[in-house]
Amino acid sequence: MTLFELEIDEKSQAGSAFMARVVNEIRRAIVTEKKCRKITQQGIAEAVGTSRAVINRQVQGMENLSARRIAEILWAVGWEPHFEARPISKHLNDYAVPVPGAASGFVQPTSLPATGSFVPVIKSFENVGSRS
Amino acid sequence: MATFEKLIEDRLLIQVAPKLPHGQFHERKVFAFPECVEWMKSVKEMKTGRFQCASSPLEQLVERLRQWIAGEEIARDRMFHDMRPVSDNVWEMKTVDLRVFGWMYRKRQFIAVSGGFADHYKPPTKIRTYADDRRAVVAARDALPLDGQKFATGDFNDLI
Repeated sequence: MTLFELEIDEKSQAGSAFMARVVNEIRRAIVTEKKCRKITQQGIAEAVGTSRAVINRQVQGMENLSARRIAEILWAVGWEPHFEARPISKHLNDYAVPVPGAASGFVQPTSLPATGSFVPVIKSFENVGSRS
Repeated sequence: MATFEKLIEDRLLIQVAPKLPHGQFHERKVFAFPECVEWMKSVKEMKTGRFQCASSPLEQLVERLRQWIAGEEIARDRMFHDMRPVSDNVWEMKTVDLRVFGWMYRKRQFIAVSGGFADHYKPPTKIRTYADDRRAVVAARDALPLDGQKFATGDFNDLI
């Protein structure tokens, strides 16, 4: 069967997939809270200290989110982010180069930030007790 | 007239897929007209029209296709929706910067006819209308020499 494979480099895929997950999690938190109580982008914006337009762009994925802003938006809806980094499985990681004899078996090139070879995962957890 | 498989064999339709990460499988499918495949290739050269958007149009397209094909949750309206009038059975896949128009051939099988850049549908850079693309999808579907039922009917929850 003919297949057109849309290609993208691993770095781009890792970055864009992670940002998409972050936006999805923020939206999931907002949608979940909306089922329980009245919550608006205007209210989130006021709590965070910015405009509704900025919050709208950020939760739509139209504007880049800083790690701080992710936490602030989730705080404003009574949730919090949960973040952890973990190594990519060795056989799936083309970036970290295995070096025989190294303590971990893997050494990262020093020309790029160390975080480049980790898979960050983010989930937002309900923290209803912290906000009314 | 021809079977769906024959249209694939003759390259009137081409299956589209990004490379899925390990552990993800093809839960949904996307097929595209050759012209739409050419448009997808051109997305690589596009720049985002959004203010400080974190992802390029190509990254957006690959991620949306990955979410679709891997069977992840698809948010109605923000990611995918049926265009009005719904009687046309035309569907639109969306990213921040891109629009892809087509129809649902069967449950979880989307056929993409054309694509566009979001800013081209909105002032002050508007040069296209959604109605034009919707009509183009209907015309392309009517002209496709496909045997049997050409499109699936149903609402978002039935088909996606």
